[in-house]
Parts: sequence; structure tokens; C-alpha cells
Amino acid sequence: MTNRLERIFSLLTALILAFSLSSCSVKNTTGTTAGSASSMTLPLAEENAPLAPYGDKEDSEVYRASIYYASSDGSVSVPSTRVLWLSSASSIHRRLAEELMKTPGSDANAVVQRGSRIASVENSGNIVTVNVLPAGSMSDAEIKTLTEAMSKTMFELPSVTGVTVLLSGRAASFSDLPIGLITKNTDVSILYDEAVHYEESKHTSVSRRISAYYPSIDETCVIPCEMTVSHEPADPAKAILRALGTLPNQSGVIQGVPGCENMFEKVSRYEITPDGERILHIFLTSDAFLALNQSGHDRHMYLASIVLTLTSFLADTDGVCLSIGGKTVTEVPVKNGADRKFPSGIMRREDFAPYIGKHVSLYFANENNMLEEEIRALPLASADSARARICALIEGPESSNLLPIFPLGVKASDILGIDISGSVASVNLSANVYRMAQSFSQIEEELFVFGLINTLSELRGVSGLRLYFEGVTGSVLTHKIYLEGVILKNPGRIQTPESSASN
Amino acid sequence: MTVSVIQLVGEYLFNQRVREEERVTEELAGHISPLLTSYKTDDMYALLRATGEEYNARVLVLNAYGVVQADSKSILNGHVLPLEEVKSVLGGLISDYGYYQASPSDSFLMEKDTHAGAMTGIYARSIMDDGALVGVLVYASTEHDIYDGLIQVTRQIAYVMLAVSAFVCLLSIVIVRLFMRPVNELQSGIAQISKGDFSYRVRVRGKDELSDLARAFNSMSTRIETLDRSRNQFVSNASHELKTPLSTMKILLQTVLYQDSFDTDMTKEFLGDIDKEIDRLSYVVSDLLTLVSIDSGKMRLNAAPLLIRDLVQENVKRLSPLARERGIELEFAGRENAEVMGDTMKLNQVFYNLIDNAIKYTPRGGSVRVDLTRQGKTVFTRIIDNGIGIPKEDVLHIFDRFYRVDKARSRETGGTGLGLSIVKQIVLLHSGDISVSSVENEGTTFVVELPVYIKPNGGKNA
Repeated sequence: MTNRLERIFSLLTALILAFSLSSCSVKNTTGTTAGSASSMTLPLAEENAPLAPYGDKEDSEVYRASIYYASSDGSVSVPSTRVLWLSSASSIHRRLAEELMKTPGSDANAVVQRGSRIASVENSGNIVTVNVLPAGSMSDAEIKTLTEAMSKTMFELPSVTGVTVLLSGRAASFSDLPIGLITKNTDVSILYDEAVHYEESKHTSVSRRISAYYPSIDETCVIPCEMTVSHEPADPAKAILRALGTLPNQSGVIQGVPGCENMFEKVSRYEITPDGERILHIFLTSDAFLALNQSGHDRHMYLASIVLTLTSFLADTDGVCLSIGGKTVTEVPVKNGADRKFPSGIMRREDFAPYIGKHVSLYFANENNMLEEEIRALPLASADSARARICALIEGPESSNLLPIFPLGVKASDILGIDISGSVASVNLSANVYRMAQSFSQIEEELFVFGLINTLSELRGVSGLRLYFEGVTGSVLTHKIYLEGVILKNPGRIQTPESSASN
Repeated sequence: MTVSVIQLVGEYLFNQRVREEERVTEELAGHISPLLTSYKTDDMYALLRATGEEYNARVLVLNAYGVVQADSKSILNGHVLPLEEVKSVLGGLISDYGYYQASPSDSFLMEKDTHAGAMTGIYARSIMDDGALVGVLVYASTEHDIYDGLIQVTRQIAYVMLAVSAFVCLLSIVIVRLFMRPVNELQSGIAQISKGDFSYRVRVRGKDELSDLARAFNSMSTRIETLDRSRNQFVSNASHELKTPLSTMKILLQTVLYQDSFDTDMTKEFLGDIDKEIDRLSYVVSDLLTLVSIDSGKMRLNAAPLLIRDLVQENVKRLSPLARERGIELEFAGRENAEVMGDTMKLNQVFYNLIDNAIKYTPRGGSVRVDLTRQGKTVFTRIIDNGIGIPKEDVLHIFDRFYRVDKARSRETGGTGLGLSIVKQIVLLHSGDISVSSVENEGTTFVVELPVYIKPNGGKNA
């Protein structure tokens, strides 16, 4: 009996155990199975879609700016808020500079004499050069206030890291001591104090940040880059030319002045012309010329690099006269253009200012079917133009590792119109482009659309794209990309070094 | 039960997930709305990526046409998302939720390494700006982490169940063995008793029902053993009592038959002895039959109300000549008379036997006193003698069958050894009791208790 009881009990236990473990499976929760794409009917194309642009225009926009005027104690520390109406005619940088020239309200003091105005503003991306035409002569203290106010006002723009102030085309300075490039780390007061004591101490050299102009890789323009030099009043050109011989910590540029051991024939010196211009004479050896030839660099850019750098930094310098191997340079060939002539060999800043450019980011395709940034230099006049950037995309990449995003055969004339309004760039392309785009694969379609919008979104004030073809926006370009509404940029489509490493 | 638990856990986890996704998307939609309307793509993208990484999900922002504006994975930008949930939200719902079976080849919303068979949960929520729908936020996540969790839970439950089952089995075996041991012992005991070994006793452990059972068994065994011993002794004594007169008669007859010369006087004497033995044999058989009748329950009392004092006194009177002959003073004292329901003949046998024994075992010059008293509902009759008494060790057995204190003497007086047994049985049949106390060489007292008969109508007894 005992054995039977034990057997029965054990059997019951085993049954319970078996029952407990037999169905250890999880039922699927309810859920519908995704079948093919539902027959979702897209809404009709926007009924109130804006008209496609023909020609280029840019709407005005309202911008809330912080302008640094002078306080009653002469300091420049508290910004005043101004609402600016920005038109397409002028850049934000110029508008800010112009606003600073105005006499403020009762809450602040002017930083310049009444009647002063802005001659030019060169926005090279990170470095802004402002040429102020003062109404009258300015003391060092007034120059200090102006340079402080100008630099702080410009630094309110996120992309600006350096400001150079010119007064009537000459580099601003405290007495004879150049101010140089003002960065966010620069304390203008220290420079001012340095200048005050400079005469007493008779320092032979001072360290300064400068805007050094380097030729772009394609040698179509020069790009200002931040450099540190040791200014030697005894030979003002030497340190700067040596600095131009080294590459800056910035990509997209080449060596400004190919260096050599025996570069200088003699010490540079200033001469006053009969018109009262103060011209810096530089004497280079034949070796320097040889080095230039051997480098294969463009001579025009060579001169632009030297003249712009020197005139943007050295105080009271109206121009440069370069002598190489004893011969004064009066003529220089220009790439894709006529030779330039400089009578009497004097080369001024304004002679080369049109060749100042800025780096812009263009997005092309790479072999990983991703977008890759190519930095290209464009002249300032067109660098901030949407059309110029689209034309650059149409031209294709300069790097052999990249591929164009536009179909081959598209021309600049296929851009029928561009309108930038309310953060949206409306681009009207020709039917030719649409027809050629029909041969796009899905990847090419995505790269085309997002390469275009990613490039245009580098422009200030552009966040989205409307794409038209002959004034009409279709539902799907080719495969998957819907054109209705605004297309936003796709940062994830850009291949960065981090995304390359993670892949 | 395990399946139920797992299902409950799974449902709980899924519901928790849905609520969490609801909360996340509601919060996210609020942040996305101003970014979407102002086309702050970088901020929007950073937010989507951060959310996607934090919650291991795919987050997409669609415009009011259902076109993807931002995708945390940057894959579906510019595409239309053909989901019912998106359609529902674009159609006016605040939010909608659905599950999809994601296969690796159809993982348009999740990574390629989606667990095959895992579910993709899609949560779509409207993005509003000043009460107007400006977009849809889509939050997609695989539930494989829930499945992984459930599988883990299932595995753990299975391990625990295995361990528990093994432990339960072991424990049950131990408990069964512990529980069954006393039963086994009882079983063995019963088997032993069945074989006739009445000396077997089980070990008593603890203070539970099984221990009570063990004690009861031991008590029963003791009783059986005693009864068996008594029976054996009874049979032995009965055999002896029966055999003894027969043997005596045989010897006497053989002596008579084989005498050399016929001796009339001797023959007469021997035949007289044989006659006495026959009488004794007859008494023994009669007493045995009486006991058998009592034991088998066949003895019926002819009960009727009787006056006990009269009955006792009658028996005293009957034995007075015997007492006088033996030189023993016999007296009776009983002031009260009580009615007792009894069998007159049987009760006469009881009191006659007791008084007769008292006379027999009292030496010449002694006394026997019989008194009767009533206390409450009981009548006490005492037979007190100052005879030879009963040894202490024999008092307990005095009512046992065939038990004789002095065999030789009782035989001499014609006793069968069954008289007191019969007396006790008769008293017990009358719902009474009998007890004895004795001091050797000082005397013996027998006390018979009988219940007073109470008439049904409550009338008083005499």
C-alpha cells in the first residue's frame, strides 16, 4: 500500500510538472500583418502652392540684431537690440556694420563720428573685413571703441570668428602698432595698452593674429585664414611673407608664398608717393621667383596673397610694390583672363579685393552612395548666391573621388529661377532636367534631391527646398521622393569621418 | 499556470511599452512642432537621433501630406509612409497604434538585423501648431526586447519550475516515507497479529493521530494478548476441570472393575465417589454453559421489579443452617427496602454464591455479616466476613474464570472456579457492579451495587 501511495503521489507530481512545462510558449499578441503598401491616396498637390520662380529673387526678412554701441563710460559691453529689415541687396554683415555707423538712441553712444559710413564688407565665412570710411580723423581711443564694437557685433553671428577693421582702406592700428585680426579671444584693451607703452619700451616685435590670404586650391580666388605672426617694425614684410609660406590650419587652400632660404634681397621699407600714399616696397631675390615657378602656383594669386595680407594688417599701408630679382613687378598673367598691369608697380588692396573668396560647401555623391562635402572657393560676389552654388553643383566635383549629382548635360541655363523666401528656397529647373532625371536610380534620385537641398541649406536663411520643373511640381520625381511641400535637408545622408568609421 | 503567468507578464510588458511610447511621442511631438514649422532641420534631426538612441527606436517626422521630413536613420526622407496609422492621424485622429510582423526582407522601418518574427510597434501621433495639423510623428520600435525579456522570463520560470518540481518530488518522497512509516509499522503489526503473535507492539512517535492510532493498536494488542492468554488459560483450566473428574472416575471404576475380590463396601464407596465426580462434572458443565450463554449474549434476564432486601434476606435465611453447622455467625442488616429491576433467579444465584463463599472461607467461630443500604439511586449490598481473606496478588484475579486462590481447598468445597465469574457477569448484566476488598487472615468484603428501579411515572419506590 505504501508503494502504491508513493507511486500515485509521484505520478501526480509528474503530471503537474509536465502540464506546467508543456506549454511554455508565448502566444503572439494581436497585431495586424503588414501587407503591401495600403492603397493610401495621397492628398492632391498643394492647392495653394506658391508659384514657381522665374529669375532670381530673395525676399526681405526681419532680423533681430544685437548691436554693440558705446556706453556712457566709453565701454562696449552691453548690446542694444535692433530689428533690422534685411533685403536681398545687402548681406547681414553689411547691415550690421551699417547699423553700427548710425547714432543710437538715448540708451547708448555712437562709436564713430556722424557721417561715417561703410565702404565695404568682405564676408569670407569665418573672417569678416569691414572697411569704414570715418567722417574725420580718429584717435586711438576712438579706434579702440570702433574695433571693439564692430568685432563684438559681428561675433553675434555664429559663423564669424575673426574681424578685421580697415579705416579708409588702411588696416586699423593703435598709433603704429597694427591691431590685426580680432578674434573672440582678443582683448582689444590689451592691444591698446600695449600700444600705449610701445613707444616707451621700444619693443622690436609683437605677436599678432592676422588675416593671411591664401590661394584656393583651384587658384581662382584667395581665402583669408587666421595666422599668428611676429610683427617686426624694422622689416614688416618679412615675417608675413614667411608666414604665407606655411599652410594654415584650414583646408581648401594652398601655400601663399613658396618659401626659399634666400628669399629677401633686402629689408622692406616704406616710401611716400607724391600723392601721399604710403607704399611698402618689398625686395625679393630671384630665388623667390624660382621657387614660385617651381611650385607651379598662379602668379596672380601669388600677388593677391601678398598684397591683401600686407594691406589688411600693416598700419598706414596704402599699397605694395614688389621687386623680384631687382625688377619691379608691373604685370601679371591672370588665369582665364587678360594680363593685369600695375603702373609704377604699385598694387593696392582694391586691385585684388574682387578676388577675395570664401569657401562654400557643396555636396556630391561618393562611392558609398552617400553625400560628401567638397569645399570650394567662390568669389565673395557670388559665394552667397544660390544660383552660383547650383551652378557649382552642375559643374560637378573637382575631386576625382566624387560624382556629380546632376545628370550629365545639365547647364546653368537649365536653372529657370530661384526664390528664397521664408527659409525655403524654391528652385525652378527646366523640363530638360526632369527628363534626364527619369533615368535616375532610386539612390541617384535621393542623392540629387538631398545633395541640392543640403548644399542650398548652407546659405543663411535656407532650411527647405521646393523643387519645380517648368513651373510645375509633380508628386514623385522618379521613384520615391515626393516633391509636394517643402523638402528638408537630410544631415544623415552626409558621410562624415564619424559615419565612415562607424560603417 | 506557467503559460498564464507568461501571458500576463507579456501583456503587462506590452501595455507598459505602449504607455511609454505614448508618453515619449506626446512629449516629442510638442518639441518637434516648433522645429518643423520653422524648418530647423538640424535641431529636429538631433532630437530624433537622440530619442531613437535612447529608446532604441526609429523616429520619423512627416509633413501634413505624409511625406517624411526627417528620419532618425536618414533613410526614408522624402518618402511617403504607407501606414494605416499615419493615414488615421492625417485623417483626424490624435494618435494611432499598430503592430506589424517584421521580417528581415520587409524591415522598411527597422534595421536589417531585426529579429525574424519580431513585432514592430508603430505609434503615430499628430504634430499640432496652434490647433492645426502640421505633421505626424511616427515612432517605430521592435518588440524583440520584450520577446527577449519574455524568453528570459520563460527560461527562468522553467528552471525554477524544474528545480521546484525536483524539490517537491524529493520532498514528497520523504514526506510519504515519513508518513507511511507508522502505517507500515501498523501494517506489520497487523500481519504479526494475524499470524498469532499477539506480543507485537508498534512504536509510538509524536502526538498526532497516527500516534493515537499506534497507542490504540498497542492497547488492542495487549487486550487481545490478555484475552488470548485468558482463553488459553480458560481452555486449559476447563480441560483440566473436565478431565480431572473423568480421570478420577476412570481410576475408581478401574479399581472396581479390576479388584481381585468383590468388596461391596469398597465398591459402594468408590461408586459414591464416582457419583460425586459426576455431580462436579455436571456443575462444571452447567457453569460453563452459563458463561458461554453470557458471553454469547444469549442469556436473557427475566427482569421484573423486585424488592432487593427481601431477596437478600431470603438467601441469608437459606444459608443460616450451613452457617450454624459451621459455627459461623450469620447476620443480616437492612433497614431500607428498594425496588430493583432484576432477574430473581439470577440475583438469588449471585447473593447465594457470595454468602456461601463467605461462610466457606470463614473458620469456625467467625462471622459473616450481610448489610444493605441505599444511597441515592444505588443499592449497596455488602457481604463481610472475617475469614481467611484473599492474598493481595489474587484480589485482582478473583473474578477471573477458573481462578482459585487455594485450589485444593476450593476443590474440597466443591467449587468449580467459575462462581465469581458468573456472579460478576450477572451483576454486570443488571447494570451493576461488584467489587472486593480483602486483607489476608482478616477477612473479605464483597460489595454489590445495583441501580434502583425508578418507575416511569416518577412514583416513589418502597
